[in-house]
Amino acid sequence: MKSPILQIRDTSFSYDRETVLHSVSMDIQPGEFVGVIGPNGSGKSTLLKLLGGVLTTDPGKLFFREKDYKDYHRKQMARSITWIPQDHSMAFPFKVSEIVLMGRHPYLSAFTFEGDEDIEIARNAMERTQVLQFAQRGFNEISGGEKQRVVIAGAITQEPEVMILDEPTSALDIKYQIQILNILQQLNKDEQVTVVLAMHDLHLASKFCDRLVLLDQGKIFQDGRPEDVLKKENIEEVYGVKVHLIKDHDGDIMISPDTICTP
Amino acid sequence: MHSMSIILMDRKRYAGTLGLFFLFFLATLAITPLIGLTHIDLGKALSSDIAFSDNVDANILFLVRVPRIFLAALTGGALSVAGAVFQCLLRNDLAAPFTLGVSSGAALGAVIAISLGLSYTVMGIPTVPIAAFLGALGAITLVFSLSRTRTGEFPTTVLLLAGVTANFFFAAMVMFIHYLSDFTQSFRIVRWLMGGLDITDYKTLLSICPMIFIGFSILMLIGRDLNLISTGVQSAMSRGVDVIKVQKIGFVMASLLTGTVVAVSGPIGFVGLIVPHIVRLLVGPDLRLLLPASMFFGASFLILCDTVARTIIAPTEIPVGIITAMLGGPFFVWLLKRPKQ
Repeated sequence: MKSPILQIRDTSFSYDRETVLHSVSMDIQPGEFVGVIGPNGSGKSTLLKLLGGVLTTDPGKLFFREKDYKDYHRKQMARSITWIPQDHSMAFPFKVSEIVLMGRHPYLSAFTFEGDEDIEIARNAMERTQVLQFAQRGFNEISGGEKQRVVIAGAITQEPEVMILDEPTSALDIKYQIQILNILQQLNKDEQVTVVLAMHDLHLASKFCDRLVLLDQGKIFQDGRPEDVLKKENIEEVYGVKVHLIKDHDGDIMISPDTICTP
Repeated sequence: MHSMSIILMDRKRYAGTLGLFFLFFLATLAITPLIGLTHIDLGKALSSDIAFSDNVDANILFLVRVPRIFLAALTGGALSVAGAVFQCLLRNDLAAPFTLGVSSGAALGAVIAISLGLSYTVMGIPTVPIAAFLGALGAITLVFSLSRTRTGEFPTTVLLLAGVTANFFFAAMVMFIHYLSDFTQSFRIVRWLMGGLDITDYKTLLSICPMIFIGFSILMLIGRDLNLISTGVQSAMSRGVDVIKVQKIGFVMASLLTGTVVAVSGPIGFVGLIVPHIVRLLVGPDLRLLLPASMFFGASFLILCDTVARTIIAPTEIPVGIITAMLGGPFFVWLLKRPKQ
């Protein structure tokens, strides 16, 4: 049995007085591709922010390689774990290449410029996510799908062991959704990067993830293999809609509304 | 062309670009002392044949114009750097020492120090600048906590409202103190509040240099962290930035720059708004380049504004704050109304 790369232990979290996570616990093994699913407001973003280290909680709750998050320096942490937000609004006109190079921050000391090696790493990352051709464009000028690929290139530039992505595909059309998921799958297969991502599309989730965590009102409803989690009764209870399940030719699960029975 | 070489070229351009800004600054510094109501014969002013006390040209040049121009340079540079940092930390390009109420906070601090009868320095400690610094820091703390949303954003409307509120509040306090003070202090306060660069000497100039140097150097050290914060607080954390620490350092140092120059020059408006914008259009938003370029450009900008203020209705000199406000008002409206991407 390998030791888990990420652990969250009995963690609750609230903003002001509104509790969004209720004693959540889970272990993530190195190399896993984990999808976090659940209705809007079920706590997906909060869980990912905690795992990504951008929301902080009490000590003894979060562990990376069995060491408390609190015992890592920020830069040390950023060399291992990266978190990617859902939307990317940029207040200032940075270029695509500048955004990607910012991923080298945890490797550089104060007031230094990125060296040749950093640029090479950024260039490879941009090649990988196919954004090299607009390296010199303004980040605010490119489309949503392109932005997502640029931000992922920035995260790859960080050379992380774990990538945590908050709904990287939600705002994109099907072509870009598949493109992004393919990039992540490749990183996962080729470089054993552990991927944890929130998703809404349950069919794509079942296709790409080897494990799904279904959240319901801040609690883990079920955690397991896609075919065990995506059960008719689970979906109907958590999402509150009547559905029937269809398997595609790969055996992946598609979910369709049960129009006759919908109240 | 290969994309990597484009990135490299950008980095090599750093020194060159900064060099151009420095040359522009040097040119301003060299030419503007010779412009003014009284014509100065440079040969005579620099001549060692005439005793300095009898040399009218040298007196005007070295005792009036040069210190005034250096003060304009320090003030313009410091306010511009502070403006660029505030814009970055609040991720809002309408932020500036003046619009955020930081200048009026500094003014309140300085006015309290003046009304207590403190002279500019007490036993070598520059009391008025320190009071102004504390006022600036209080103002930015207030505006920061009033306008930050739960997600760590600073919506333009809320930010501007908080700035306006802070401005009114501090202005009321200044008026209150002004109203209670005696005639001499009152005169000192009014003269200073108008924002002018003409009340200076080399001793004052030298005394503010260390604070400006410290503030600027420390901000340069956290340039890359500030870049990341401007892309979003949580993204910055995930890239390894100690956000709370960098925010604190940034706000304290930008307040130090603002307070120090406001203590001497009075609250001169809009420099810290206009200059970072123009420079960003020229060199891009990377603070490692934007900060030093804004320093040079802001210095030149205020020197030029002050040259206009000295000469436009000569022999009357108008406070430079009037010129910057006349330029800044319309510029601000343009920023608000311009089409967003």
